[in-house]
Amino acid sequence: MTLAEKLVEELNCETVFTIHLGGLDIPILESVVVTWIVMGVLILLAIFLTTGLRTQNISKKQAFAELVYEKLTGIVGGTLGEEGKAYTGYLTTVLLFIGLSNVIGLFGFKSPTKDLNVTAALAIMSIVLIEAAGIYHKGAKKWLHSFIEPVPIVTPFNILDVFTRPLSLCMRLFGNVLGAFVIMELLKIVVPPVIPAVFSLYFDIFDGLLQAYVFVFLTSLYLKEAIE
Amino acid sequence: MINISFWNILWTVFNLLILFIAFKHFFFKPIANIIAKRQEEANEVYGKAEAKENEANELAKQYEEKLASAETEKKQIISDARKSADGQYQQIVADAKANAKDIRDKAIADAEGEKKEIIASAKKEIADMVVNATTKVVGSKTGAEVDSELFNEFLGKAGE
Repeated sequence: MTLAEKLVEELNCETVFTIHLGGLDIPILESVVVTWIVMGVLILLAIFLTTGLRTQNISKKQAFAELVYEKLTGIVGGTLGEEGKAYTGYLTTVLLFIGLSNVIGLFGFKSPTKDLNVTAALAIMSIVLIEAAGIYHKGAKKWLHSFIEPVPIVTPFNILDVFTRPLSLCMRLFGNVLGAFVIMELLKIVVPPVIPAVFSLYFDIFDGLLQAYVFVFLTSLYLKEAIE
Repeated sequence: MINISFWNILWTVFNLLILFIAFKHFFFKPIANIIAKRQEEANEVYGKAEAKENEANELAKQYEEKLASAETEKKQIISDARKSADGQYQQIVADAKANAKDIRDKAIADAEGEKKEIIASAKKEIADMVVNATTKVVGSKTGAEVDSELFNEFLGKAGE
């Protein structure tokens, strides 16, 4: 098998199984299955961390859970500001999801974020949330009016923004994860075995978490802009 | 990789929503609740402590006031007592003086009266004795009548 074939095989997202629902064939792809694993890990961790919460004499586990909670909501809420506090929960969830999805490749799974469809879904949800929050906070009239701000001539660009923002979010995340993966695969083939481990620290862990942060940071920035 | 699959997008959206709801339920809510509860408890404790402190301050103030009023009351009572004791003392002394004077005056008057009485009775006795003696003398010797007259005259002068 050539290098190219190997890479393509690694990159391809296989259909694991298909659900037949009436006349519909619903394919379940590998990325969805890995997403379920990521979700399962996160939810189990959350349940484990939040059992036996007390107000006094807290356990180390609870202290850690509270630290994680405070830090995460602090990071996300810091950009969102007071008005966007209600969206902290969703964005923190996304941060955790993308973060774990990006590093789960280390455990032998195919990162769900290496599938364009997953990043596209994330970006679509972000833009839907942003526009919906804009309409909710400003009212439909003001929201529409925001398209001709600051001067009517920028209206086409403002409209374009609605599409380019999720596209850039989606592509940035996908491209970074894909790029990091390709580089890591090449390094593993070219200079095994120690050097890939060093680079893996950057490409798999640091870049993965950084991209998760960038995605959430940009979404919260847009969100803040939309509700102001 | 880059095949767009509608179902996959739908699944991911669905998964994300599930994950969000699960996280809200299992992670954010319990921790936010427990932090809020702890805050509440802390506020309660602080509130109680503050109330206690205020109460203690109030009590201390009251006691101070009471002490101060007791001090002035004490002074008042002492000065009152002093005044009344002084008055009583003066009264007693004056009474005693007056009493003593009365007693002395009375004693003097009594002594004077007695003296006079004694003198009077003595005078009378002496006169009687003299009269008796004179009568006896006059009965036996008539030559002495002149002398008796002279003697009476002398007594009368001396009795004055």
